Parts: sequence; structure tokens; C-alpha cells
Amino acid sequence: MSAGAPGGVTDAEPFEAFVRAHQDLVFATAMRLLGRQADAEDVSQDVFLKAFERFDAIGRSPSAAGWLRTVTRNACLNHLSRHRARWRLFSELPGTEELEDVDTYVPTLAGEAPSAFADVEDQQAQLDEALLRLPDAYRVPLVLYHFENASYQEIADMLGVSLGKVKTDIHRGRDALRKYLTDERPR
Amino acid sequence: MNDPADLERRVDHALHGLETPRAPLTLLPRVMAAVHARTSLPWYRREWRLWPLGWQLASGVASAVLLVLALSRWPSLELTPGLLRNTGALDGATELTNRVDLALAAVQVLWRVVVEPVVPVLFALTMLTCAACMALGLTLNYIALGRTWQR
Repeated sequence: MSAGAPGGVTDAEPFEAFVRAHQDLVFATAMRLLGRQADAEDVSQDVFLKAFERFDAIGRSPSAAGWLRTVTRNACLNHLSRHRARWRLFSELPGTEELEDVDTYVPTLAGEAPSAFADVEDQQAQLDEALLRLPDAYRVPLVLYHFENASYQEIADMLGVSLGKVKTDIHRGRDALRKYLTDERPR
Repeated sequence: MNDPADLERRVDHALHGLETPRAPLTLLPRVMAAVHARTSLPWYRREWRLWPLGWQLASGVASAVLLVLALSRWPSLELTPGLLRNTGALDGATELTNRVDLALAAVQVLWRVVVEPVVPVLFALTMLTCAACMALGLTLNYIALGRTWQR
């Protein structure tokens, strides 16, 4: 019987170990895609509840991590598309002709020149924060590309936007992060 | 410096150098509490796919039987009250069919007597109201607002 059986007490222990082993992976994926801790926690919980329902199949599977990653990614995209007010950015951003003017679209990042980084950790913290503060329209494709190893075409398919739009948004995202890179910082 | 490929490489390197976000300490207890809440529900209050296998099968079979019955009976309701009466096997169904026929006839009579005569009047009133609203809007736009909405 599945882990969802009424006798869940005995099933709960291995499942707890399963959650403990994979919670960082799921949370990190959700956190980077959603950029908000509360949302990332909600999605992580939903993902683990799905895992609980299929625990017999995936509990000891070597592909459990991959399954969790895929389910988390899809859950995050669903979460974002449900919150259309935020997701509308995709359709409202201007076209590629304004590519070079990234600071127009990321005013909060552009307005704050990073102070002289005290050390590498400080610089990484600022980069991390800048990534999370990117608009969804830039952060999501950027994260899918760099962390989830998705191709441009796969990202376009996942987000339901054109290939050109994906390339543009990723480039803008990278451009917004440029000043947080080690070799770009003021010396 | 401005080469997109170079920027991609440097951003990729920098992003992979970031520390992986750690799950908050509250996540595990939260998940386990949700799991406990789910498992403590009686089976019939959970989603169907979480029902015990036996009940899933039983409900599937019951649904299929109901569907087949509904499909096989549907034509007889429409076409063959006389046939059913002749066989004498389904008197209850024949009576039901007769009542449905009677109710439908009553609805048709009410429609013809009460609703149908006023439909043209209602339609004309609606069209007149729409035309009046449009005329008022155009007049306001022309006189009071200076045709601003056409700019």
C-alpha cells in the first residue's frame, strides 16, 4: 500500500529521512525560481506531499532527486503562472530593441552600486541577493538556464514565450548581475 | 568585457560559486505535520487517487455500471414508452417517462402563453435602450468632452 495509507506512522519515519535528505535540494530550487522564502516553503511542502503519495515508487529510487527537481520546477512555474499579476511581466516587457538599456528595467538593482566588497563571502551574498531580487521575468529563465541546465528552447517551451524573448530576458538578467561579478567590482 | 559569451561564462561561474540555499529548520516539521494531517483523514475524505485500492476498483466498477445503464436507457426514455408498456417489464420507467412528457408539455404551454408574446417587446426595448445609451455617449463626447476619446 502507498505511504498515504492510514497506517502512516510506520511509513513516516523513512519518509522523514527522505525529506531530511532532499529538503535542501527542493528548497534551493524553489527559492531560486521564486525568489521569496515564504513561497519557496509553500511549494516545497506541496512537492514533498506529492512525494509522500508516491513514496513507494520513489522512496528508494536512484532517480528520486531528479524527480523532485522536475516536480519542484514545474510546481514553481505553476505557482508563478497562477499569480498572474507578477507573471504579467513576461508579456509587458518591451522588445529586444531596448536590450542595452537593462537598468531601465531593473531600477532597484541599477540604483545601488555595490559597495566595495569586504570579501568574497560578502560579494557572493550580494550577488545572491541581487539574483533573488531580479524581476521574475529575468530571474526565472536565468535560473532555468544556469542552475537547471535547460536549453533556451526548453525554457521557451516551459514558459510559453518565444525563443528570442528567452534570450533577451536571460541577457538582461546577466547584465543586471554584471556589477556583482568578482572581476567587475571596483578596485 | 561586453562579449555576451564571456558574460555568460562569468555569470555561470559566479552563480555556481554561490552557496546553495539551505532549507529553513521549520520546513521538515511543517511537511511532517501536513503528512500527518493527510494520513489521519479517513480514506473516503481523501482524494480518490489516495483511496485504498479495493475502494478505487469498486468505485470504478460502480461508475462504469452507472454509465452503461445511463447510456443503454437513454434511447428508451425518448423513443419507446409504448414498447416498454407492451413488455410490461419496466412499468416504473414508463410512468417516469410519462411524467417527464407531461412536465415538458406544461413548460411548452407556459412558454407559448406567457413568454413568447413579450419577447419581441423585450427585444425592442433592449435595442432602444442600447441606441439611447450610444446616442447619449456620442453627444457627451462631442459636446462636453471635446471628443477626447477619439484622440
